[in-house]
Amino acid sequence: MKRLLVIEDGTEYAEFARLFLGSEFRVIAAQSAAEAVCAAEAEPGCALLIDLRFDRASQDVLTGDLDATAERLFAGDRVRALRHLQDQQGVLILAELRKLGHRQPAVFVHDFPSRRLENLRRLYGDVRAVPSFDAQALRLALGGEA
Amino acid sequence: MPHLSALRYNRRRMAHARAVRLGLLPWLVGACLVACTPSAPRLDQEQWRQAEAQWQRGDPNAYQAWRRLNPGQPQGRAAWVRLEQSDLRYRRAVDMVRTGESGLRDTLTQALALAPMDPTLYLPFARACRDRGSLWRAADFYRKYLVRNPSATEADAARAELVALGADPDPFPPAFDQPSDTEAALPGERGWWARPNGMGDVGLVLTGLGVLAFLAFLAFLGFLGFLGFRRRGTGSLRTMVAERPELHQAVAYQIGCLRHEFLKHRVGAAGEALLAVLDGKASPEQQRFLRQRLHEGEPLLAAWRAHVVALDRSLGLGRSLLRADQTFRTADRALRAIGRGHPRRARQAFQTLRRFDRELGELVARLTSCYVDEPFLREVLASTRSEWSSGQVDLDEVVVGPVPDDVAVDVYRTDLRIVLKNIVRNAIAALANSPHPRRLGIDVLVDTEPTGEDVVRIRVRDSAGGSLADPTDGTVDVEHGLGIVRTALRRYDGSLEALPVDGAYAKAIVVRLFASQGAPSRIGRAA
Repeated sequence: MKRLLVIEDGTEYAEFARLFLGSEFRVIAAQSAAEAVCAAEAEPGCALLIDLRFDRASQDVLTGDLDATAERLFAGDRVRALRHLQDQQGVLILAELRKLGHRQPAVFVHDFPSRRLENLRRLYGDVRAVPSFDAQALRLALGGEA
Repeated sequence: MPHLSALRYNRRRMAHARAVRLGLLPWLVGACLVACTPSAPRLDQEQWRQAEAQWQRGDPNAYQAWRRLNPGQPQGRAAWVRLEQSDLRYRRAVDMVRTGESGLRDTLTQALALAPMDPTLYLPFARACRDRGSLWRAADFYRKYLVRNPSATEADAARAELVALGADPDPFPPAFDQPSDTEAALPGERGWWARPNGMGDVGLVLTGLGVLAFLAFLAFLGFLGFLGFRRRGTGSLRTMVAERPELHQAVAYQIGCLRHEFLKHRVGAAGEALLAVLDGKASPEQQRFLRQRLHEGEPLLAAWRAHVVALDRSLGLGRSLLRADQTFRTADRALRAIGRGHPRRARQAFQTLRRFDRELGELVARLTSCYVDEPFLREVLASTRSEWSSGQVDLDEVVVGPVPDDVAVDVYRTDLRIVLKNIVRNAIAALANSPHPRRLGIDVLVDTEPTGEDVVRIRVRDSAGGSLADPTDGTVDVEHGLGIVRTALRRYDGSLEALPVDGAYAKAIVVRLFASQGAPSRIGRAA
């Protein structure tokens, strides 16, 4: 059976995946970058289903350099930088996984504009997106070619 | 903050609809017959009617007309009480703008329902908006204040503050609600319906009949309009945002919440389970999942309508989008179909909601984008140089560009223009005190973040020396010039930096904004 690593700050994605993709995928859940890295190391090659926004995650579990982000994007404003890290955490976790050599397809449930998706593919290879929780579309995205 | 004229418009529109429903014509006939029979005891009532009419049609002189009513007479006394009650609310609204406290729309709605606003309050409204970074709105209020109070003690200060915003030098552009010719022609205490000098009773009666016929005609047109209004609904959300750019931010935020919290996490996730149930293939877990999404916590329809109400409020609508906008009506019907559980209709309803979600996404994507290209930057530069003080400074070199192709940011063009004009003006002021050669350059850089987002940096560089941290050198006047710019940029998730640069320039003021992700490619469109 194929394996699916679900990375999110809650449990909704994993619950959905178990219910509607469970016949094809064994679902493994991770709720932070650290957990995602551990799971990916333990289960190499599993497909990735990633939530973009980690609104509920606390600062200590977020990946990304808060001070550097504040300096680079928000004129030193750490509060805005923290919100930015939360809003974009899914992509930053994917960046961590790619750095460690995990090249499997990564799927987001998000309607990325085409320009952003092009950027993500240029940066991180096989990145796919489906606009809503559609089991068939997710199945295709996780199993087919981009 | 809500737009006062929009609220007034809605109030008048609702009053109009009510009047039509109650039978406007007989009322108008009666009103005109009474008006055509002048007598001294009715003077108070007549003045009151005139003042009321001025207020209803949004006449800038309505407040003064109310203040002229005699508080010794019953109508005048009632009007003065309403003025006092509304004044408290208008002032409270100013404080709410200043502090960002919630409830502003309700407070303004209550005030506007009571009596016209003291036009001197436009100034505190303007200043509060300016301090909150709502520059476009602030400029609007400054202009309204100056139109209505051109000779007030604070008019000069208001003009200076308006110019400091970087708004257009003409303080009274026609687009803003200057009194119309009719309004400007109001001669002191006399309304246009007052008896002209030398007109006899016969003339007055004929005039009254003419007015009666005219009002009857207007009532007929209003009735036809009302029927059309009921049949077609008022403007769709798409039309409203196209006509009122000041609503874009609030609309974008509310639609973002509706799409993420409701259409994605509630409906989107439930839809799959619903289809499984309808097909008779749902496992017990899937049925439980569906029950959770649809029936636990806030009921689905209640959650949906709460989002729509929030959107209605941000638009200042008296008539909900559920009635005024076809796509919202369709979505509402779809949700009710899902609730009823009819297999075929529920399946269609689910597809309808997905389409609705896509349409909302496309709408938001086109709301606020402004293309940052060389013509735009040249226009900013030319506009700043056309100002007297900036135009006096002799510059040796002005370079615009390079600017990458197809760069757009999610900022109102007007606001970005104000921001850049402030920065360019400061740079030119600094160059005025610098030795030759005096150089000014504007260019644009685009970098891609690790998140895949493109970041746009608009740099205004100059060759003037001086410390970047010294606010007295006329270049980085954080408190009075760039402080406003910084506040405005924060509203767009942007920021401002002052950086030293090498080469021909001494420093750069950099506006950083995220590139628009939704703006359609102009290169693609051209092809």
